[in-house]
Amino acid sequence: MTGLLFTFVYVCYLLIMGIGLRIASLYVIGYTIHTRRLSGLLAHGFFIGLFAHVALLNGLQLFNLSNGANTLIIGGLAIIFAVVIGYYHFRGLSLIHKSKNRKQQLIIFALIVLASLLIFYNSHNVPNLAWDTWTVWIARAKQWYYHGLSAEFVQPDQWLIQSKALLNLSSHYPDGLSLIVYPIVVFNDTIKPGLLGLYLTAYGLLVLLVSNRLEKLGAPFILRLFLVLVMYSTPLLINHILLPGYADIWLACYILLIMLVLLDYNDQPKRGLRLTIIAYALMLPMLKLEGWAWLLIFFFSHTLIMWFGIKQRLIILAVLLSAFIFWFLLGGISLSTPWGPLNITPAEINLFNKAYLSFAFTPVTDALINGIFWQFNWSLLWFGLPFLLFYMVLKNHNKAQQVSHLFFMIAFITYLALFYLTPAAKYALDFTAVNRILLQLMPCYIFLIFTLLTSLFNPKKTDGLV
Amino acid sequence: MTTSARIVSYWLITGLLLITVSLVINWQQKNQGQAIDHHASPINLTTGLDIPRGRYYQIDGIFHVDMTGTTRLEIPIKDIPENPTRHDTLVIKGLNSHPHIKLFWQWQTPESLNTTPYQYQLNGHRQSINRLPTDWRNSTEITQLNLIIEADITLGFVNNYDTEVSWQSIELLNHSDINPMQQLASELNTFVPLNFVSLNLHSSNHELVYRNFLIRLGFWLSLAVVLYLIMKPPAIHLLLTLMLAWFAVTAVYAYNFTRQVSSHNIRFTNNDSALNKIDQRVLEVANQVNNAIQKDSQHPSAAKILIIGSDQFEKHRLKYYLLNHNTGIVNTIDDILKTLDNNNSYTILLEPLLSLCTKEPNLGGTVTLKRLVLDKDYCLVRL
Repeated sequence: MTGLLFTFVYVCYLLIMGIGLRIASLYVIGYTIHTRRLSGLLAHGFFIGLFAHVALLNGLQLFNLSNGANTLIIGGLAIIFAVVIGYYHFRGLSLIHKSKNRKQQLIIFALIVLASLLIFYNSHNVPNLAWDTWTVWIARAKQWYYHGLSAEFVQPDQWLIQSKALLNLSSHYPDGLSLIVYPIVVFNDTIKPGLLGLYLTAYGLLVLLVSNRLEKLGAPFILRLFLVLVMYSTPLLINHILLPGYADIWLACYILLIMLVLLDYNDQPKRGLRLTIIAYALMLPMLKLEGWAWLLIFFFSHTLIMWFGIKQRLIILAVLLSAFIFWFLLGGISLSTPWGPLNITPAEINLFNKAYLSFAFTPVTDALINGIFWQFNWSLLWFGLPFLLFYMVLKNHNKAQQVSHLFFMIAFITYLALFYLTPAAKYALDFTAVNRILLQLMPCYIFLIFTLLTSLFNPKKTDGLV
Repeated sequence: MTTSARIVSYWLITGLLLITVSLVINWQQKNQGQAIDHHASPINLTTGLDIPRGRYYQIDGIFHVDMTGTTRLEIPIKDIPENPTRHDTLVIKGLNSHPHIKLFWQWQTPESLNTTPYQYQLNGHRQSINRLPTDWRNSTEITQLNLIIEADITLGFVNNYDTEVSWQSIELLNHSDINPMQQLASELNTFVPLNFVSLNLHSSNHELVYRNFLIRLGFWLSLAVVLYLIMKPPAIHLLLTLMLAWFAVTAVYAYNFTRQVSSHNIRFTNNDSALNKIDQRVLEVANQVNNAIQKDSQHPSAAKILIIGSDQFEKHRLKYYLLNHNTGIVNTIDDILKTLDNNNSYTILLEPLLSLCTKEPNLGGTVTLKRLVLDKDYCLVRL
């Protein structure tokens, strides 16, 4: 019960940080603060709040302050943002506007709460057993709690010969997830219920946002009900909530959030939404190393679609493809420099011995097919892929939709290339990474499938200019 | 064609497609494995198990295995039948087991004699129908054949030592003798527990328990979508088809989910969420180590603690509880020797290295250590 109470307080803190930051930053820059639906305000407030929290704590790590001083700063800032929200409210300005279909919205909300309660009921007795969670991510938060937020982490070899640095096997990973866990560790030693509550809240708010977006696209109510069912009965997504503490589902949330806000921006190009997209995009590399790959893919997709017309895009893609073929046939670039070898060849990439990746084909088809179709990780969802690809290619879509389509296609090809062509193949064969990386794309994929279904009911609404 | 005619035709053909897909897959499954001798008669192994005296008994045609006091029984098949791999399916009828019991079919071939034997986890359903893997079907000679019964007594099942497993019969037979729908029902009833160690997979590659179900539904659904694109009935009918398929899968998922709930309730009700009850002893060790270091060290929070031992769970949990110090796990004695220069460094020796601590703690050569605590399952030394 204490854990749940703490979740409530933590979610309130995140909402204050998110909504307060939005009001304050838009006011300072001089942008208009538009109203949102209550669900949109809370959901975006929560996710921007998480971004603000992680960015703030990442910043505080530079100053080597005590935990008490850090808590004072964080608390002080939260109070300032609460005052900002209060001031805005008492000036008679509103942050929300009413939904059109309040009854439908209430039913969707009630179903999300019901599904969350079922997950909670299944998971509340289960101890925090997910191995990586407590050995790595929560462990790092505990190390900050005991040794300060600025503690240095190293790998085992360096740790043995250094006297002060702490050992954590994730020392080369971004701090985001552990920083999200950090307040739970500081205020509540029984981490699991607090973590479970936080994951359920985040996932519920994400489902609510997707439902809102489908409603805007003209999806019938039954389709939105079906969305809730799909989101809460896709086995591996739910497993990640039943055993909370992994970063992948956060990454999945932020990838989808970028797509949703981009669509909002396409509807009404409010300048504040640009900042929201930047915040969500920045959150990706703050959570996991893969975040850099998703961020680059998003940046490429966005630039190609938004800045260039169809002919220009085809020329750019043709140039890139020719460069790739040329590079492949010539055997790539191999240079000896004073800083070490610089090899970018079809066999390997070696950047001055600082980053190294070798390429070799490994047949991982069986493992991929088992992971995607037969292990019951994703239920029947991947049977929709061919139809989605046809829908992406054969129909006209607005630019924001094109960005999400291109992002998904490049991300999926990257996923396949990673496991077919690099040493990561071993993680596909023993299933240690193949499903987890796919999970990061799943909410985005589910959303795209549902836009396809929506287009069947309301073909005009989803079509747009190319 | 009018809209109503298209709708009626769509549903009729969709229904026919479901039956056709099921029949085709049934036929295809029955004809898999041409090398199998389809005329070979079943081999009954029920009374051919070499179980220690007193552990195996029969009441009213039900055979019971008593697991009292043990967590693992390796039961050899007494007289291995000639060429058993001509049968590709192992069926345990009337299996009565528990969620924490796992059954495995284990075999050894002349080629694998000096290596790890082959092992296949069996389905825990009441009618346990197990299509044995390719490795079994490719084995030409079997030198050893075992049925393994394992009780998972960790993580909350600690008091469950008096388990009993029972069955009506154990038979090796051909897959073509099994009704595919009966096998499907058996698979759909299989309990899939929540995977604790890692979230990478929902069920392991070898289990793939719902594969046959998903193949049928997935192909049917794909054909139904193609049919929709050809016949173009109103979109709601496609959505209803999708929902129908999804409900079928979700029903299986929900059934397994409810079984997970009851399993967790039995297993973890008395445990708090921080694993304390599960690793109570580790927590006690951590508290003792904490006290000893508080007394011995001038800078306890900066004390470097190296943990060495073989049990991964024990080592990692101990590290987790000692993160108020500069704690880490090491793998070799050489790693410990690298920290000799640090006068605020401690080592916790766990099994099987406890013997290094029994007399004068010694890591080899001239390196002697100050022993701070020696307990039955750990030893704390200062370097």
